Amino acid sequence: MSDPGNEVADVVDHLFRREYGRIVAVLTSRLGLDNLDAAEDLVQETLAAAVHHWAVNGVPDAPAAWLMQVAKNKAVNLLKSGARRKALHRRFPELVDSMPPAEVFLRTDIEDSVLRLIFTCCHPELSQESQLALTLTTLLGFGPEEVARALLVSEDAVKKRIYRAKRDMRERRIPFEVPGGRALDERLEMVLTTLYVTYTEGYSTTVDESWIRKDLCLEAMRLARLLADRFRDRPAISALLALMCFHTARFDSRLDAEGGVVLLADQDRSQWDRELIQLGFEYLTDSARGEHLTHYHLEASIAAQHCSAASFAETDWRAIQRFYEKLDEIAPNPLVRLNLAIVVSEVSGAEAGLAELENLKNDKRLARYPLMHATLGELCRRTGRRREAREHIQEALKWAQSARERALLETKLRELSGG
Amino acid sequence: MREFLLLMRGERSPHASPEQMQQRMKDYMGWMKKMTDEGRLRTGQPLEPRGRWLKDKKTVVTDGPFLEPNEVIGGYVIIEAEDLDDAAEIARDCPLLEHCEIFVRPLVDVPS
Repeated sequence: MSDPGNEVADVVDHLFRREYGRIVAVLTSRLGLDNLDAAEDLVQETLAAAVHHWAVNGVPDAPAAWLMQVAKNKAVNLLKSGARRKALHRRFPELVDSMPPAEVFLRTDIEDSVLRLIFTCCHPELSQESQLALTLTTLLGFGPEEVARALLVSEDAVKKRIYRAKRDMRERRIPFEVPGGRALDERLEMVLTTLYVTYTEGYSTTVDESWIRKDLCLEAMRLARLLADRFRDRPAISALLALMCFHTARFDSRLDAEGGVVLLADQDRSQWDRELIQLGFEYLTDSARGEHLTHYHLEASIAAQHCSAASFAETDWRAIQRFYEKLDEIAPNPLVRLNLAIVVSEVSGAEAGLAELENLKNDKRLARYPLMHATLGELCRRTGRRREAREHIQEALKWAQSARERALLETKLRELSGG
Repeated sequence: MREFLLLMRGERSPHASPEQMQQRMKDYMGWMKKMTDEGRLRTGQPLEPRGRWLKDKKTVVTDGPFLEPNEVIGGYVIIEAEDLDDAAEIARDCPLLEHCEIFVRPLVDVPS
């Protein structure tokens, strides 16, 4: 124990949140998935104990190990006490045996447990919504209120999702394991999708910024790295990581000092994190192994083009167009078409971009998507159709979600109305 | 100087997130550093959120594990202060007061 007098700020940022999922995973691997809630309660209690103990006695030399040990002691005491025995799993005596007090958790043991928890939270029997809710709370240690803020839903809605997710988990008898053999590929795909969704939820700028959004991105990246370490022969993981690195490198440059949106064309590229971009290229190179081309590969390749362009004007739009076309082939969706149209307008001019958008104009899925209308507006402006441009921007304003987005559109509208 | 027990009771936000718990600890440590620097801190411990309540020889109430949040005693500290007023003033500055109640009780002065 160190001297409390000198340790005030010495706890690693986010330590509690990071350790949460790890300890829940280890306890659940011993207590069984039926006792997931009990495991989470024990971790909650452990953190409360740390608040009191560390404040008086100082931060322990190995804080993470301290938390793990206290949580485990609590579990063992609980199993022995019998007070909660009935509430716990039926295999009570075996559980006590499987958790001898002197047991030391090895790093590989912890990682195994975390991987099992990842695959359990992202089980195909659970809806995408449930998977996301479990990943964010049980695995990543965000509280319901924090998740609500990040996903722009009410705290009650989040709690309901968690409740449903855990109920489905029990009712469908989902195993607590990393699948083997041929099932692994399919399941890994599911896990990557959930990490991708977690990341993009955090990255989206359509909502007002808060610290929690970047944290979501960084945590999704952390789990992706854990997967990459374990499953080295799965290039899709490297592709996803590359994508995450490229995007994260640009995270802070997307907002100006006042918190306004800065478009790619106007971003200060010297602010981009060169180290992360370098790491992104390493992952991208690594992802080129194998034969299976995923949408992560293509999205990472597009992001790589942006990151390696010295300026917006010097962007290799033709290369980006090819990647989008390929993406449209393997994972067609209206957003990809919209992006493709934007790229086409850079390569072949605004008229060509507008032609690409013709087919998309009536796509219901984009009707309420502000970027669709904003793009139409911008391309009309470039071709001199100011009145049409104004109408499109006004339509975009109708659906804009955040104050920042609206501010950006209003500026455009003023420019179109003025000289 | 006399010794006082500060008992942290209740939990206003039992579902605080790990991040919020860490912030809570950071705030608490700041206050505790002040206690240490002023030479007031004697000791302190966290308590398990479960226990037994023996009302008499026959009546034993099992408190917990599902204690009411307002019954949880998170922990205690013993500090030195001039008198009860002084101790209460010190406790009023404790950031944990945002999350729980604090009982301040003087320890009886006994010959050492």
